[in-house]
Amino acid sequence: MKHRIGICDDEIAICSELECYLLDFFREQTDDVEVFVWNSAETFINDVPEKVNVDILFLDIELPQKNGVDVGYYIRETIHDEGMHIIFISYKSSYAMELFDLHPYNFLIKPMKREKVYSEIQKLLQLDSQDKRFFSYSYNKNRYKILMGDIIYFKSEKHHIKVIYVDGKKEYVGKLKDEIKKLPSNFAMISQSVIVNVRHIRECLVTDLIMDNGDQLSISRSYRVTFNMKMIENSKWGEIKDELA
Amino acid sequence: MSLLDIIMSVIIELARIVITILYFKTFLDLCGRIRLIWISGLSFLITTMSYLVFNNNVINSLSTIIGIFIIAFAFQGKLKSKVLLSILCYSIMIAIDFIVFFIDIDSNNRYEYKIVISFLSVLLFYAVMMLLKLVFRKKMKTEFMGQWYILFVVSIMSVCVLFVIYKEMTMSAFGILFVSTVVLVMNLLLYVFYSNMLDRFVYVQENENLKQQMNFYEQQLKMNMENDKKIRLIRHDIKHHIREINNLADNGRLEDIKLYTRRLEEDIKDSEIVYNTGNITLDGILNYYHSRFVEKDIKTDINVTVPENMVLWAYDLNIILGNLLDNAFENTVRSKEPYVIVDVKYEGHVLYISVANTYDGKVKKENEMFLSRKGNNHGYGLENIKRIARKYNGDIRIENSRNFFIVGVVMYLETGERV
Repeated sequence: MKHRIGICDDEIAICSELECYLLDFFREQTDDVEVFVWNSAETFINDVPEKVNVDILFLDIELPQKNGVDVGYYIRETIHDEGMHIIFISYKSSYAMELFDLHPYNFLIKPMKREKVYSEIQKLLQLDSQDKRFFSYSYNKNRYKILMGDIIYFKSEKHHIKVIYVDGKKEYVGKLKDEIKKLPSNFAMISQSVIVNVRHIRECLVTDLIMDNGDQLSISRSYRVTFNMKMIENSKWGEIKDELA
Repeated sequence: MSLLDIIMSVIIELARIVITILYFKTFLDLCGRIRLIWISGLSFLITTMSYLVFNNNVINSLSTIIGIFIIAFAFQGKLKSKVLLSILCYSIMIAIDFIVFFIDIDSNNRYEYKIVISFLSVLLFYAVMMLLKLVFRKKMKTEFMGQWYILFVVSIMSVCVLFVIYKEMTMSAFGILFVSTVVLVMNLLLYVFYSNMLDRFVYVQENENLKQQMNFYEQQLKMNMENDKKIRLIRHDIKHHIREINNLADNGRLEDIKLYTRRLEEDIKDSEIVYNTGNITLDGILNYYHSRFVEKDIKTDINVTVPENMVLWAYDLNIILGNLLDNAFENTVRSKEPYVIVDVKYEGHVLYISVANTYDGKVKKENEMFLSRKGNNHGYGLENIKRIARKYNGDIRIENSRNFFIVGVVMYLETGERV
């Protein structure tokens, strides 16, 4: 499998250093990598998505003319790419709120340390491999499967379960209580009739969730504690726990 | 109607009103002190007047209901809950009157008995109120919920005293009125004394937290000033640095220039404040603990990704992060390999805080809360964190492995409106 990683930064030295880290990292992996470098927002916008597309983008916040925020809005709102993992890079450690509205994967402080870049990529690859597993179900005696990572949420209506995923909807017969047992830990039940993929939550309001496809789902009060525990488990807390176990 | 009668009904009505106010206080929040005073005054006037003027059963019960309902309006809350609580209050009174009626059934309707019975019913009402407080105390906001059962026991004991007086009737009507009033007033005074003490306790706790916050700010200020001094020094020396670099460049010593600028870069980096996220409180706490960790040679791995000016009350953040880092520090410092991991991350209006630390493996788990060897304080801190997290619809999760202790907190900072 080939990963496409982009770097968009006007500092040539940073770009080449990062590119070097990435190539070194993938030399020891079974997967391949292709690294694309842009030195300005304008060239990036010119190339993506027409000429190339990337899965992961290291994006400098302080670009000349159009800056990193503009590129972020271009990705999320102009070309509607919700899946691209953006990692903002900057010399500063204080970030404006609007950067968080672009739901970036993470932030790195320049100059970047090799181990830090490695661990970020490692985590992303791990998430990716988890999302590349299949969820399978049967309907009318046929077996179907959907990529776990594509599933946004499950909704039950009477005896049917609707799967809302990135490219549409599927329906089959089943019970949510049984399904949640089969799903990995990034799926959380938020009410009697809804299971969400925590990775597809765009925003958390006080009692509602806004999913990546814009759907608004409400968290029932009796599921609040379980949902909160799932949220903590899917945060850095869970990572640290797994690492230390 | 005798003077004794008037004095008795005034005392009884006053006590009833005070207890009714305490009753509502268990469930609802007060609107304001002045409003409470004139509302209870009004309620007192209506009930006492109707009792003294009409002395008719129907009018008396009606005025009691109205009196209770009027008091409800000194409190905040929906009309529905006020009505329901008033009805509940009245039914408690009726039930007590009923019990008292059965006690009184074999009496020969002597005046002395009537006095004891009236006081008995008020005291019973007070005892029931204490019981309600015991049951519903979880709803109370103060983290120190108090030992209300002591007051309950005292009220039951007082009821017993009145019962004994009733059974062994040896006093005059005036004596009975006096003793009953004293017992009643003592109960109420004990209540006032106790709740004031609780308030004071909470106040001291809050003060302690604020003092801690001041420490963080002071540390941050000191750091800022030191930093400023260093920057000024570098600026002062910049002429020399440029001359030196120029010198090296003239001689074509490229490697030396690189070495020189690298050293300069390190100097500048040294002068930077460790955590600068644009959130004064957060930076203050992190920098404060960073210096404590460095001082004790504790290995740390701290990551913070949050927006500037987060919508989170400084006081709350201070309690949560201050307690977490304090616990981590206290526990890790005694372990063989002191190590603390801190991660603070903001994502989709959610704030996640994870703190992990090594410890020497001695943890008592009690009532689902972890208590350290420091005694109750540790569990108290975690209880406090939970309370604040819950305020933001969030929660806390704690796990410990053989030598690691990991606490996670989630909080939802979206307030509904964009700030």
